[in-house]
Amino acid sequence: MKKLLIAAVLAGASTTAMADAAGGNGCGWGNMLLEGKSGLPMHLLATFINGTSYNATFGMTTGTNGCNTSGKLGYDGKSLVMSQGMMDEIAANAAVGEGEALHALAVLLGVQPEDRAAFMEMTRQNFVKLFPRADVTSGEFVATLHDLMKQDARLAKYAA
Amino acid sequence: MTNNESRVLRALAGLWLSAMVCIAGASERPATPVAAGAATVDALVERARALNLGDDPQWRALLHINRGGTTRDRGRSYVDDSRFFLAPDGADNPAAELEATVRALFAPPQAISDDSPACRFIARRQWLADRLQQPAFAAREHCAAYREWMKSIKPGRVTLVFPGSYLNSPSSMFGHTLLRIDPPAGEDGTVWLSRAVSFGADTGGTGTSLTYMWKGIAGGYPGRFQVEPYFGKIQHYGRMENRDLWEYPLDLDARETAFLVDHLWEVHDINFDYYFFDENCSYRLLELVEVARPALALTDRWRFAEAPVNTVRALRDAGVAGDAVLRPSAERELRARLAALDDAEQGMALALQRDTAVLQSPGFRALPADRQAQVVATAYANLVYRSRKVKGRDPARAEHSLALLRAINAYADAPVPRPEVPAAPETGHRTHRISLGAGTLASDGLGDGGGQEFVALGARITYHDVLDPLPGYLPGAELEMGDFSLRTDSSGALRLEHFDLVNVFSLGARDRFFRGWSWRVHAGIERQPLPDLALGTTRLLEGGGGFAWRLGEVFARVYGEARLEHSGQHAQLLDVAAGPALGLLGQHERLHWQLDARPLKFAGGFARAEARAALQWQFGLAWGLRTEMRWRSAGDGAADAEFTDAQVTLHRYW
Repeated sequence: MKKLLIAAVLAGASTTAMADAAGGNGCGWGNMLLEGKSGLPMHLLATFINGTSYNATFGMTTGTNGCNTSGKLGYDGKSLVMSQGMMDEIAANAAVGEGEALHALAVLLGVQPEDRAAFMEMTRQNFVKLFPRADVTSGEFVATLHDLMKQDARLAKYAA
Repeated sequence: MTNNESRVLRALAGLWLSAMVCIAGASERPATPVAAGAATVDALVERARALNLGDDPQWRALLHINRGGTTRDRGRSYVDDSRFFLAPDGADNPAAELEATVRALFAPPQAISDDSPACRFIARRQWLADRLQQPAFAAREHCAAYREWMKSIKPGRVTLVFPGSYLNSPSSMFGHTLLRIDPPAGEDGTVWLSRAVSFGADTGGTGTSLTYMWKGIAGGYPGRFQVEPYFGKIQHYGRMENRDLWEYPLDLDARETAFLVDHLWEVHDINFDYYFFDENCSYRLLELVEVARPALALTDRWRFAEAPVNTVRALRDAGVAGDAVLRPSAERELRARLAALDDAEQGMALALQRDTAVLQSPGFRALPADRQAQVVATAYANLVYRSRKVKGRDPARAEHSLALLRAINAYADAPVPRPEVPAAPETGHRTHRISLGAGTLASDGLGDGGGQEFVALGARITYHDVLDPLPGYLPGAELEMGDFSLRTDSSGALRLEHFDLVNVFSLGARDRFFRGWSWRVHAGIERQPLPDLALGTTRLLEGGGGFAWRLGEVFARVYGEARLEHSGQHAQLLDVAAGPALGLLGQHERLHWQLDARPLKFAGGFARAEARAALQWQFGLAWGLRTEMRWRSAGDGAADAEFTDAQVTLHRYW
């Protein structure tokens, strides 16, 4: 059950579609808002963010670069990963065993405050297992994370 | 029984009935809408009238009534959406809207759905229940859409976030403001999952930059609130646009925060008007805060052209916003990392950012482990920085990234160099400026001839130029709107010397790590030497771009510029000119100086050249003394004239 939750979290699935696209994920950000529209002088005919999406330097392939092609770009609080860029953050945090993206992931997984440091240290020690290749998918990451948590005495209870 | 007595009796009956229901409702059963007949609703309306709730500041805040903050439609609601009002004249008549709301929300029970007023106007319901002493309505129980929406929001505290000024986007030049709804203190330990609330124009993704600007200014777009995860904002502002995020905790308590969020539900899909200058992202946020705490009265007095930084000031002055916490941009963090490396290490980081083989190089291996860790971390940060605008996934870059992260993972804890925190934006000089100066103008050739003294009066609506005090603003950047100067002529009459509609200037210094762009745009009116070799009025649009470099506090720039000009004097209606421009700018603590030179050649053969030196001495943040000297020449080769002017000006910022 938790595995499904993590998968939903990381695969960018949106369980609620907010009709008017709350600014979206890595694709089509800021389309709706004048604020942040890049224009004069750099791109006189800018259509902004579609051309400047925050992109992964490596990592999770989720198909269409994290873009939800159905056009419904809504998400609720559980969908942490909306673009490959988020997985980048998690990976960069896991490499050193700390960071806000990793912390947020722990919170979403229900890890209690007293166990969060252990969670983050666990990702650091198992970094190579979690990110074995540059094209590791989010599904594989989820599965590995789940297994690692199950094997950890302190974290097993969260991987039920 | 007289009319009054029967009215009183009815009111008392209503009171007694609702008291009974209140007591009954206080039992274990979850509260439901008052099960009463029409008589009770009338009684509630009466009570509401007696209490004059229609005039209550919080009711007016809930309806977004213009209390005088902006010029348009005073006394009317800013909401431009019939779905928001239950009375036909609800937008103009808060009392009528109140009555219609009471009738709709406290009517005899019907089936409640997401479309019912009870589920759409949750804050109104709560407020009225409170004032009219009615039982609370268990919205989460009865309203599925609201319940779903609230799953992702934990209303504990509110933070005001100010993404700093971003000159590469017309709508972001003055910065932006948004609110962040945080869970109660200590719950998550991170704000990444908090919800960001921001107001902006809904452009529907169509149009060009120019139409955005025009329509945004003229109210051609509807405005809406957006609620999104805060981490999206961190990525967008902090990583992609590389803007600092200034986070100001607001002292709204949990109850006020919950009320603000419930009201946000009421307006989350509602259209407002949007006007770039006054009814904009920042102004709406003030209104939201006022809904939670109407006593703040932030939008009572006229607010001229709401610049986001002035919103921050308003909340600070009202005592609601605490001290800023800086969330540095990715660029600022990268610069801090680079500053912590020596020259050789920087070179290695640059090389490593391109090629992992550097990890094996003797030079790298000779470094102590902790220095290696810093170099690799910097190389990774640089790689991410450079990749932020690249589209698509590049497998080679992915491999490279992973290799760097693996290397980082192998080292023990490496401390992260923290950037120095610059002055917070609200501590900078105030955005309005008035000026008084005096000077002389000399010219030879045809024209005025002889020295002529003048007095200069000026003012600027907003914002900042490179000679103004720097703290709180971006170095090497200028944004001005509505700046003008009047000079007395030989007869003592005042004449317009210049008027800047808009002037934007940005120096993006380049070095081996950063490839900044530098550019400027300027539109306005100014007196310049014309083909008749006298000073005359020109209307202009000019722009330019090029490169800039920085050494300490000094910038050097080389630009190419073009100018489109209209005056009575050119052969064509509009004449075009182009030319290079060179400049130096120093922004030191008490002293700023600037040197510029630019020749301009017009298509018709006429040419102009200008060299300028300026210097400003600062006295605190409110006063500055500026000295400017300018030499100009004009001619077409056959005849030419020179104009020299010098001026000393006292600037006051308020």
